[in-house]
Amino acid sequence: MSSTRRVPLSSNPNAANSPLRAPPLYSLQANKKPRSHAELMREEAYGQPPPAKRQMVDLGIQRSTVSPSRARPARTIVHRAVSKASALGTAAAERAAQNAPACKPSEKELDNIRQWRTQIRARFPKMVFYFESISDEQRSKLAKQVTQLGAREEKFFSINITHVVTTRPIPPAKANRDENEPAADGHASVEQLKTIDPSLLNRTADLGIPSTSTTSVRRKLLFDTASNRRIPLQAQEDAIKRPKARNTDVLHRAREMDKRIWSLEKLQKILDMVQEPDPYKSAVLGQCRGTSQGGPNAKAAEQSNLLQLLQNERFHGPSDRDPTVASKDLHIFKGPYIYVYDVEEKLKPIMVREYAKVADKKYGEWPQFRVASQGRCPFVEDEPVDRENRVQTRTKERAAKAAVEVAAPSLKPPQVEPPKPVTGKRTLAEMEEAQHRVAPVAVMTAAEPFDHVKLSNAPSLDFRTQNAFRSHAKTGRFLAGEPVASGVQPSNVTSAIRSQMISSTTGVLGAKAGTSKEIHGLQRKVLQKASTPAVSQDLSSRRLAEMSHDSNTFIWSASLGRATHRKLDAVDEDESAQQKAKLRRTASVPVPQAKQKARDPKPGYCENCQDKFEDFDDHIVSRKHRKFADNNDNWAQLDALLSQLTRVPRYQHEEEDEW
Amino acid sequence: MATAVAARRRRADSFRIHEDVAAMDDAEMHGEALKEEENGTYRDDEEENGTYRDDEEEVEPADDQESNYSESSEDEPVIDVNIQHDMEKLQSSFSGLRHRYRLIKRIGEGTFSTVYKAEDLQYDHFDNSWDIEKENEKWTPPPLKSFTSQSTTTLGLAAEDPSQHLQRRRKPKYVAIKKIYVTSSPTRILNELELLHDLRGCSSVCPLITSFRQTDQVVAILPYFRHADFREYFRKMTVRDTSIYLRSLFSALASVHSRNILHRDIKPTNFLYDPLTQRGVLVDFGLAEREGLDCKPCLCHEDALMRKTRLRNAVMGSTAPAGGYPKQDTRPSRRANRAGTRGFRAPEVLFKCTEQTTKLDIWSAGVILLTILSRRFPFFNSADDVEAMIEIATIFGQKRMKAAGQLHGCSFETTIPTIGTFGFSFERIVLWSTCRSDTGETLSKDEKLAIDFLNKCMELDPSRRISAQEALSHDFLRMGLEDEVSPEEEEMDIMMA
Repeated sequence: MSSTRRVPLSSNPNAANSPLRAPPLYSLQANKKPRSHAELMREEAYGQPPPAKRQMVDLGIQRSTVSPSRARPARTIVHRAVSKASALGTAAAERAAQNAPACKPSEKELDNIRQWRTQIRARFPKMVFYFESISDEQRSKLAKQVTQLGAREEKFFSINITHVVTTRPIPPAKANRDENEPAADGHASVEQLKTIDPSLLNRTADLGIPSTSTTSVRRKLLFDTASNRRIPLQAQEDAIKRPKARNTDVLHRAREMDKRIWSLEKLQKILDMVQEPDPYKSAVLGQCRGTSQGGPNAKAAEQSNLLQLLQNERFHGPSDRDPTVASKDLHIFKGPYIYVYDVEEKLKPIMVREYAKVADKKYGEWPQFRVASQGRCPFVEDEPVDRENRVQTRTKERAAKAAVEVAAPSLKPPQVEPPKPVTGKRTLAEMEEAQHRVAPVAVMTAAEPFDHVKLSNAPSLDFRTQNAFRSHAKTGRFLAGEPVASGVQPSNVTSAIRSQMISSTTGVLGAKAGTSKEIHGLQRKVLQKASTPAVSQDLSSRRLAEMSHDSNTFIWSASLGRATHRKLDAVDEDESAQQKAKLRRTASVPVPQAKQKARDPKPGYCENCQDKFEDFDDHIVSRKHRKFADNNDNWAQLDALLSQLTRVPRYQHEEEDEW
Repeated sequence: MATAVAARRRRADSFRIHEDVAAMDDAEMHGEALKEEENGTYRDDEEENGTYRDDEEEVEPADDQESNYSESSEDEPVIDVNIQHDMEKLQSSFSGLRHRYRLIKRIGEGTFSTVYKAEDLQYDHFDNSWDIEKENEKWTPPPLKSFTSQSTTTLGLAAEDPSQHLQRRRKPKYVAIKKIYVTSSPTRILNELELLHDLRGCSSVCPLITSFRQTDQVVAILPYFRHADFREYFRKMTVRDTSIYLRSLFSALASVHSRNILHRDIKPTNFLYDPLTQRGVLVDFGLAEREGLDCKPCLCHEDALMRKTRLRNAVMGSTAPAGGYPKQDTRPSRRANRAGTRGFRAPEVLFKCTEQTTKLDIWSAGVILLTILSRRFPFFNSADDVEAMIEIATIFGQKRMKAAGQLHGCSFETTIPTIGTFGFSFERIVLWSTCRSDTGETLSKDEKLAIDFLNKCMELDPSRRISAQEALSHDFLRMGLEDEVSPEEEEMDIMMA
């Protein structure tokens, strides 16, 4: 039940708005959400800075390194600063880019950071955010973070808001500045340095000016810093001009209303810095600012950070620092998560999993110490009542299924159950293929049929299902307790193998057999095969059938070539599967033959043929496999060892019998 | 202690009755899983029912019933036929196998093999130096002698010794036949057999009697080692019993590790232990590997300074998005051997350390100790590595986990509310697990010693984790060795030999 929550969560944007995640105010307006999507779409249609990444990269690599002056047309101070950074600046920038990782925040900077943090924290409660062009998930996450700091989020753009956070390029405050105050430029540029430098934060504090004026100033500066990093986007003249066309644009209105406009990136950075408990790390986060105090060096460093950023993007693909892509390429955690990744970021995350958000942590799906009676696994909750019922239902169903033998499509495990095992499985998929990480649903569909087949005859598998999170019952006790015995987590089957198993068509067998239409069609196939003695369940004859069937394949493949061979194989698998399904049916007839219950196909992976198979018994008599098996060359090394392992006769005169 | 011994003796006696009169029937009827040799991954179903029927009846009738119930309800109708069929097939696949071994039942099934119990029909024709129960030992004379003399007086098993010559013809000798699936590559099979061959003569390591092949079917013959199901005895183990158990396990590990071999799958099911004789053997080297054979350098092997520098640089240049991960990730994944059993995997395995050492077995042994001390089995439930990580993190807390991750160049981040900053001490966990935390009870001196040892085994940093050799000189494992001369102690000597 709880796990069903997972699935919707990832696909349902509204889930993010659940009252659990945000103040009531927020949830009241939940339905407002889709709008931002729509807006986003519309904006894209307008031809918003399209391939943002490339743009940045291009600019970064070609323009800003080659001739930063091209960025001049932009009117923000930032640009001016950059453009002032002459050729020398560029060179310095490159140098700085290399040095950058090595610089350490000094003790003093750490102090500054701490102070800056307290100040900004103090200011947050006065802030009212409006998130614009930000994906729902990210938005709710931000809203939560912001709320934690005492600020609040407004669903609607209104006069109340103090800050607009956007992923779009921020329109230069052109109108304002042009008309109102050319001074604003200078004003800003002076302050810009302040904000950038944590030590400056210190200074203000030293001077004892915690006045609102400084704060507002700083805010503005922070914004400017952010826009700094966005130069490339803004640098393009058309990028600047385009927004003009839409004067009703929220950002423009915000400008007009003199609201602060922050880039998403900037907000994130601030949040990161504020929330990072480690001042050292925080300093690192803020370092781009820290190093850039005053002088030409400041500009150089400024640019170097930019370069670094671009560089990183080139290596690692778009990072979240490119806000326009962020929402698409980055999965933002909404619920509690565990995320283990390579520090050097050269490799895929080592593990990542997100859990559904819960009101009370004890309802969380993740493993945690539970109230468990003595002797039981402390991470497994003692059976809740409803769960037990479910298990019973499940057992009954299984029994019913076993009785019918052929699974009817309606005989699904209770709807509530499946997601559980899925989580378990998901990991495996996850570990192998990152893209699956966000698609539990997809994996689930694959996993489900797998369970279907197994349901009737592989209790162990089923067991795992129930056991995935909580022990499955009082009946479990220790017997279910041992992971191995109950869980069928084939821990040493590589995930690749496992996922193959999951995706293998065997899984569909049960379901397939259920649909009469398909049976009909398939029966034809079986009939075609009826000339073989395969109908008998007797294994020897079945084996015979396999052989003959195999030789058929051989003949065909000889004439049809490899590709066809493959195809035929697939068909054959189908047939044999069907055959088995049929046999199972026969067996279900209450006849003394009960002993002859069909063996379930045992799917797996053959290391020798490097191929997955549908059924073990079928596979090992296949031509490919026999070919390998009968080739002594494959076994030479092993034989050499085996020859040393013969049993030593007790008496010398004993016959040389190595058994 | 005295009562414990007495109890044991009593059990031993009754066991002997079973063994003598109807050992085989007993095995068959009660689904006794005497030797489960599996590859860490059970497709199995077959629950290990206790070896010690009398124990069950006396102490845990419920458990027994349940396990029987589960077995019969879930597998028997189907599996039995199939097992029979499989056994038949195996016997006919090797010409002559039938004359040498009589298959009795399946006792275990793994991903790569199935293990059967069988009677060694031609036992008398061969040199049986592997047989630790027979009277004339050649390979470990001194301890064995003491064991024999001692056990003659006390324990049921060896009490047969005097009459063994007479009995041999009548009393069947058992072996375990490991049928390695034909889908396993020759390399894998070679690896396992080779390691076993290398380990011959190691104390507490299950020896290989012989092995042979017919086309793709390879079969290994191993001694059949009588043992009890861990679940049957672990809750009754005193700290001293635990010490003996672990000493046996660690001496096995010490000899395995001294040959630079990692077992990789240390867990109760792979350490067959007989509480009566207090002997244990380590089995299943199916996942074992040689240390450093398939390794790429990992940060954890750099010296601390170097590691720090690299980490710092990485953090500085980090573009890592906070609070999210890329959806489309084209970077290669970190690859590391993660073979093992869930719940027993060392943190470095979970962090995908590319340079794993024998220390990972020590962690797993530590998990066994934790299980015994907390009286909870399994202690870790973890359905997968992520859950395993969360469970470990719940105990150790974020701070230590972060540090542990950094050893292997991993950044560990979590917002899971139940993972605290500092985690819990094992002492607390054990008190809590045994429901003593409310009563204000504290741990006994022995238990504290055990906890100290546990801390050293379950040390997150593999390089600081105790080695098997060091462990053997830890006070906890030496517990009782200085004590008065008791039969048990002599047995310990055997284990140490």
